[in-house]
Amino acid sequence: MAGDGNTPLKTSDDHPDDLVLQEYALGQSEAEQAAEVGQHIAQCARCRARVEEWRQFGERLAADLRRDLDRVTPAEPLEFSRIARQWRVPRRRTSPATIWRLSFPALLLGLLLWMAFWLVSGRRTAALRALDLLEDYDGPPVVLAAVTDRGLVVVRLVPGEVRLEQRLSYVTHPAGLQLAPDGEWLAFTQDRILHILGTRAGGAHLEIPLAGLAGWAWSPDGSALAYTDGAGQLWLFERHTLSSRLLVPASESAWGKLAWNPDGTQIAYVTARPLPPVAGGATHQSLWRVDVLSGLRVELARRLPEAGALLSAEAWLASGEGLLAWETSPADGENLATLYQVDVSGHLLTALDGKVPVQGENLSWPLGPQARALVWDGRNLVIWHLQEQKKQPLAGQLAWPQTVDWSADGAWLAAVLAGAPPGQGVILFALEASTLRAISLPADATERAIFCGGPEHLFVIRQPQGRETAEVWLVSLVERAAPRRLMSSVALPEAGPYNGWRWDDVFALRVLD
Amino acid sequence: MSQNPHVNPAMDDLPLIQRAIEGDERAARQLFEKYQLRTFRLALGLLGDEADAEEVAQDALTYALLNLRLYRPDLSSFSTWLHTITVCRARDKRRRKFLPSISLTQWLGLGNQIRDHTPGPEAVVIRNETEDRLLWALDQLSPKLREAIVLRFYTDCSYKEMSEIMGCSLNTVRSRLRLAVDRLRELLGEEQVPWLATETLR
Ligand SMILES: [Zn+2]
Repeated sequence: MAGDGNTPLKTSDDHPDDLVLQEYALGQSEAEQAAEVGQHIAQCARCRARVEEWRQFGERLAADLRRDLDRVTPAEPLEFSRIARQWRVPRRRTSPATIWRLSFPALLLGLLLWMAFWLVSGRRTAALRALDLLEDYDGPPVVLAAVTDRGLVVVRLVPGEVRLEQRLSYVTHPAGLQLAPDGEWLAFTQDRILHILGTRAGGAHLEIPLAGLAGWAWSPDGSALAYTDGAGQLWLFERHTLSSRLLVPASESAWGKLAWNPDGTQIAYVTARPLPPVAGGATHQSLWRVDVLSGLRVELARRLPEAGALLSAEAWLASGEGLLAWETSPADGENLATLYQVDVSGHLLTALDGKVPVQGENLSWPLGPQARALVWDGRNLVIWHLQEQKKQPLAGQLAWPQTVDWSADGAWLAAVLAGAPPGQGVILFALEASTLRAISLPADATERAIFCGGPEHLFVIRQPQGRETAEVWLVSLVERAAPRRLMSSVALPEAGPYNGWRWDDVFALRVLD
Repeated sequence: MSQNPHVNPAMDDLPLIQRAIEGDERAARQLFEKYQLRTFRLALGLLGDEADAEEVAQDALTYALLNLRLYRPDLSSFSTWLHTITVCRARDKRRRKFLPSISLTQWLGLGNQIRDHTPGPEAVVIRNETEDRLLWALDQLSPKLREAIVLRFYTDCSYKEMSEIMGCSLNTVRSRLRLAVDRLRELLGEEQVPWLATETLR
């Protein structure tokens, strides 16, 4: 039945592209194009036939898919009860004693699994083999947490020794993996439970039920984890007591991300009424700080309510006299944030020139040490030195950085460039000299993310061609040593709404001093 | 066929969602009941295996209901949001299965798995042919192309919704769908497609 257009009414050059005809047939053309195609096919038998062909194909395909799928029901009914159990978690909790519990079953299970490993298969366990862990590690001492096809693993790497410390097979879809600065603890959520896990084999494991969207951050010395619980409360979990105390009550509507000041005495947080995101309406948002010891709260600055706009505290300036916050709003399509500098004493929010992309609840380009920020000013990539209030253009024409990390001293930044050919995705930019350096890697995998590993090393996450898992590579910046694969079978994160990746859902790394 | 997954009751969900966020378990249960079958079937279309589809659907619904606060009604309908989660979970599931080169039909004998209902006698002859071919053809598609087909032709998503759900640009959606349709037609071979024959017979 397919007419091949041997006798067109018009020359073949004038026919709309097949793609256009297909879209028209499936009812997906824009109005203007639809009108054009409509006019054309009124006179062109060839294209009319093609459209009709597509249309019939589409209709039959849809009908057959429905017929095949709509009559199947799950063999076992899906269970609401599995969800309801978590629904019954009280939304407003009163006593810190009820909000944490040592998870003995999980701990026991972990311990048993761990023992089973060592007993059954000796030192080179199956799990280790599956991860392809490098045996003769020679990089900086690090702790890393990664989601793999065998669940969440925590691995400690010191020169000459690689140790699989923890493996939680049921942790398959965590969010927001955050290692404490000393690498001794890991925090993450999964299914509305905040997990706080000691990273040593057999370490403690606490689970804290959350009421909704939460945020958490380790204190600069790693002794405490501050978190919001989705019910408007801000808590402080302290390692030495293994318990939480309430810092900000629910009536204050604290929510989202938190930022510790450099000396760990203050936490910046946002309050919002109603708690977002509620039906896209405007919320009244304010930036506050709370004194960790006294619990004294001070409002820093206030935003006028704007529909859909969401404010987050990000980081303090080293002086402690100002901080940085950011806001997404529907006007920017939610994926670009406006950065604000907040004058703590003047109660002022000043918008900075330039935007930063956002992935989920985090900036895709994290702020650097000494309040340095990579921003897009609408035309160019620029580095803001916020402390000095000066802007530095990035040398040369640079593709869009997909992920970025800063050296610990803020002297250089490393980026993975979107769309770079395999092996050529990593660049370094030295701020002082204003120079770019490309890092070459083998061409069998695409660079996806980057983590700075002390002054001399980079950890690069790479996706081998045709694979749906990633590998972690160690790159030495000073020696002439070839880059080495450290580990494989790392899960790729879910893509965010704008084709970005949420790496903190699958990977975290902490360099130990 | 009593429940039609192709109707998009976008706005009716908002009050339910709001109540569920406020802690009303019954509202959450209603949302669950309303979306469980269509979520399961979407997952089945994406994965081709019932057990996997059950797991993915349960996961997706659990995640969605426990994270209702993350849903932004101003950006998409609830069903689009839920589809997005389901597609992500299905991708996850596939990643974890490590079956990149073996067709699920071969592996699981899907031919028998997907249909446990006996069709009416008048359709028997045509049906076996058509279904085997269609499911087999779907299994030959790459996951991304399969997503495009199922989202467009089963859940009736617009191109714009598809780009949100699949996390790619509109142009990527267009070209994936085109590739997918071309590939399906190629696989099914027009003259061998029984449905076209049926059409002419009627
Ligand atoms: Zn024509």
